[in-house]
Amino acid sequence: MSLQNPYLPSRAVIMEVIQETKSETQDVKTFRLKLDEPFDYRPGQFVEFSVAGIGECTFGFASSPLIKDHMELTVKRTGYVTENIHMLSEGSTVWIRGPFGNSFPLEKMEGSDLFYVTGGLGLAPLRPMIDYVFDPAYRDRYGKIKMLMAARTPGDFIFSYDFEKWAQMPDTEFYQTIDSPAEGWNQFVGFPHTLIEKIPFDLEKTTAVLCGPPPMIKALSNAFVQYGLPPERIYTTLEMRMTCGVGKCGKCNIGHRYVCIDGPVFSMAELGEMPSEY
Amino acid sequence: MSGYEMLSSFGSSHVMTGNQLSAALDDLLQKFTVVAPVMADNKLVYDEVKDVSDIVLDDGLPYKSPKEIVFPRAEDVMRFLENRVEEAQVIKPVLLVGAKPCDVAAMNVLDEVFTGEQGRFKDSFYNNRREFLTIVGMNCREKKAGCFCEERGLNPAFSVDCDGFLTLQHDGAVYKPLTEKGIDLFSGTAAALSNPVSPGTEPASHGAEPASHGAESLVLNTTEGEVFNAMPWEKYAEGCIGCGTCTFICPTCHCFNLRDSEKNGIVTRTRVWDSCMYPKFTLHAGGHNPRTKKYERFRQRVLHKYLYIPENYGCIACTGCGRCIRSCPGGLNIRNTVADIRSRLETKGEVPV
Ligand SMILES: Cc1cc2nc3c(=O)[nH]c(=O)nc-3n(C[C@H](O)[C@H](O)[C@H](O)COP(=O)(O)OP(=O)(O)OC[C@H]3O[C@@H](n4cnc5c(N)ncnc54)[C@H](O)[C@@H]3O)c2cc1C
Ligand code: SF4
Ligand code: SF4
Ligand code: FES
Repeated sequence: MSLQNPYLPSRAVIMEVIQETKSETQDVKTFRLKLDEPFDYRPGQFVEFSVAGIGECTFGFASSPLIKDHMELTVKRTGYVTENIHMLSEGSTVWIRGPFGNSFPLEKMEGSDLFYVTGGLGLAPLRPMIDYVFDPAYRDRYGKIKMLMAARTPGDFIFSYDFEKWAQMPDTEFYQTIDSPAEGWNQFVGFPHTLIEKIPFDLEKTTAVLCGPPPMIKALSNAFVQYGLPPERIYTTLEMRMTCGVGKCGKCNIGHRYVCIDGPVFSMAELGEMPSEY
Repeated sequence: MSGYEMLSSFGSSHVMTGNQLSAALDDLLQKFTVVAPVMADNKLVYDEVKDVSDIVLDDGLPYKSPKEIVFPRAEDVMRFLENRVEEAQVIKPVLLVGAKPCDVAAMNVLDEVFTGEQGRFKDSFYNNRREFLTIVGMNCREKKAGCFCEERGLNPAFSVDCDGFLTLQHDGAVYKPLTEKGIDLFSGTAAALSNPVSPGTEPASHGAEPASHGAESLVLNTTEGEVFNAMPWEKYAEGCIGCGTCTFICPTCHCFNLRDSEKNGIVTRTRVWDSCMYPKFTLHAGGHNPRTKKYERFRQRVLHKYLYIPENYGCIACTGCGRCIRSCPGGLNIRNTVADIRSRLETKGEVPV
């Protein structure tokens, strides 16, 4: 992105395409990119990503900000632009501007136990934070870690190649759940909000970070609050239709707050004060 | 310094006869693209002036607002080259003459949103055009049906928020420069040198703050929690056909989309107007839509102007120009809506609709 003009993207080249989901639809792919003009970002931020002549859309960063030689975005095929993105292959030219938005308050969370709960593609925007916190340089700033990853079926998990590594991290409990029983599945079955009572955590010390489809977030945050976790210590990241990413185009507001510049990360305490128009 | 405190620090006003004004504007046509109220298809609009005699200075508020000078309805903003993008160049000095005080105020709202301090990002495409724009305001002597600028705290006789102001009088006008750009404008002309206003003959409106200034009546001093669910929005939005006219005709509406197109192998990105009155405006790719209902979209439009922009930028994004009221096929009326909300807030919701 040009420093003077936040609308001007710079070039990136696709280094690798990773097919994430294994279920019939195969609708999620991760794109590893090499940027002409690399930039720093914080977990939780997002980019505007273009295919020239097709259009632009919004994606959260999906790889650790500590990785400097490439960047990853995980894209679900849902409409016109994402369909075209899915047709791209190694060597294709794409365009990127950013980083935009606020980020997970990593400094404020220092000293906390962390409870990550994600549903489906919701794991993607959380991965930069997960990897950042697991980095040996930062790991001792945070307490115990619990991870509950949900997907519709066993084939719908993204980043499944990272799961073993994460599960073996010190002071970490790693759980998976799917919506309904499947052959050979020996982990949890059921929606995440029905499961948190099966995973003991320290109410005094825990910060929860939730990413996933809106109904999941709503049910889950209610469950956490009922359990006694204060809304100030429950964070999520929101999705709204976006065009500009810089607070001008008028698309993404919830009341007077703009998800592109005031978000996408909000605490449940903040969301409680906003109109529920999202 | 506020605009009013600065009044005295700029060049003194001068009187121009009608002929002198025409001659001066004719000179300015050499230096600027001049935009002024002109007749087109039987409607008064702000449009590019080819001949000074086409300018219509004293016929009330033009049908369309002048926002297209800085925020065109469709604007090519960049093109994609092999390994970089190229920003469109717009270095075209524009002089807007005869902007009514409400439209001057609207430009200030756009300035706040696109390039203001509180906006965090500067919108370069807007800025490129705005930097090359000089605005000369003019007094408005004809109130149209639906106009309510005075209730919005504006003074139809004067505005300090432009580069210079013309007050029409008998045969001619008094020009008051208000910024450096405004001083430079007529400084070389014979009129400026020969006809300074004599003491005491400056129009009274040139110094006085509008009577209602600072005591605006049509504001919403409230919070989202007080009005978002508590007001009869469905009732207010009855009759809306979702055409979007109110947003396109509004001098402060500024929602947009970006679109790509390809011609002869070159991909251009274009910024086009969009409207919060369309259901697709907020439709997510996955099918979810935070604003599926007509009344939710009308609520967005009203509160964006009267609550959200005030909260974020400290100004109200409605000037009371009345254009949306005059143009709405469904008879919706933002003034009456806001007035009704106000009386409900005052009486704690006990006003029957
Ligand atoms: C902060 C944020 C982070 C996101 N992160 C990811 C991610 O990591 N991976 C991922 O797959 N998706 C993510 N999304 C959603 C993604 O932006 C949309 O799925 C995508 O824009 C759909 O584009 P489309 O052209 O395929 O769909 P169409 O329905 O054809 O949409 C046309 C245009 O509408 C806009 N649009 C439509 N839906 C959305 C939406 N939900 N959010 C924003 N703009 C939209 C885009 O400008 C898009 O180009 C994110 C959205 C936001 C707001
Ligand atoms: S002009 Fe009237 S009918 Fe059309 S979208 Fe606006 S309020 Fe609705
Ligand atoms: S909302 Fe209506 S009255 Fe207010 S500035 Fe816009 S067009 Fe004019
Ligand atoms: S995406 Fe344009 S205002 Fe937020």
